[in-house]
Amino acid sequence: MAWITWKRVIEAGLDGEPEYVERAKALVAFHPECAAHNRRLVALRAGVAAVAREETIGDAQFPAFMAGVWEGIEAPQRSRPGFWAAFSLVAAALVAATAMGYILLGGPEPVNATEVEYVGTDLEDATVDWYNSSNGVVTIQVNMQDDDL
Amino acid sequence: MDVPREPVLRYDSVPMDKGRLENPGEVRSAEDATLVEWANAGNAPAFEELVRRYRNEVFALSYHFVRQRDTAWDISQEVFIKAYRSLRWFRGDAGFKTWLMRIAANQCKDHLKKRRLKTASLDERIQTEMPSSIERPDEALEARELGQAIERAVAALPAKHQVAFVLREYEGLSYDEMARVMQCSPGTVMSRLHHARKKLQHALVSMGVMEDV
Repeated sequence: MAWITWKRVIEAGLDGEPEYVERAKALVAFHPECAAHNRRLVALRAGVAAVAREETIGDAQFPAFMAGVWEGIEAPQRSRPGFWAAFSLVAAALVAATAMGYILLGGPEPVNATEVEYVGTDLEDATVDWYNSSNGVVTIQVNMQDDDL
Repeated sequence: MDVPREPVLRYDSVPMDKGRLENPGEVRSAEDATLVEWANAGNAPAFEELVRRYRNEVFALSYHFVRQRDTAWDISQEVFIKAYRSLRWFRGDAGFKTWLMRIAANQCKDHLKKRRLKTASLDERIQTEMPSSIERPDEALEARELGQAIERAVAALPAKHQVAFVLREYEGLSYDEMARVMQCSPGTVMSRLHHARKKLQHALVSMGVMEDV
């Protein structure tokens, strides 16, 4: 961490930041690694300066430039392409939220059969009985003659 | 759905109480905040004066990112169009120039992301003028090669690091100014500059144009 910190001090000093200039000078003067880092930064800056060119819009070009600005200002603004994407996203989110709500909050009441209302059979000579056990289980018994399958 | 059109500024629709054309010199000498107020009220000359004042700063910044004059021209125009449409939200806490540079930096970043800017080949490079202090052709060539290598390496930086490096090395902004343009803290500015320089040095060493110390 200290390595990164002193490098940044040197960089800030080279950039002319007032609170770092003197500290950077001291580091560069007394530490060879700091001096090496400073040399690399200076070389980098010199390379930038070697090809830097001042790009300008001259006075003669300004009317054309300004005309283009006015043209852009006066052009009708296109509908934002992101609007429909956002709309679709909201619609999809609503559908998903509705589905989740349906699932989590429950749909129709679940079938809950705990009581026998009627028992019967179409088998001839067969009888049907039912009874509730103590734990709430309903048992249905079909009685047939011995020689019936 | 029809998008309502922005009201068009015209010279004949200048409000009578702001920036009348009786004294064009008044526009030229007005401060930025005054011009913004007038432009916001529909004063075309006031907005044109703002464009006139800062067109080169915006253009230079755009050019440093895209390295093509035509593209930088288009981006610069987009910056001022966006600025005009956002004038009503200019609060004045930062200077107009800083606010404009912020729009420009964001526009350049968006352009880089959309276009996936690739470094132009050496043949497409605009011929640079040789610094007058370099008289020997081999020195000039070496400096030019280093500079072109730097340009390629800068173009390959992540957008936020590229913005930081360009604002510092090409535009000469202070850390505080950069923080306002980039909407971050000065500490973040230092961090992004550090990472940008570190990546550039690695790239230049690998290209063989800078010694690995």
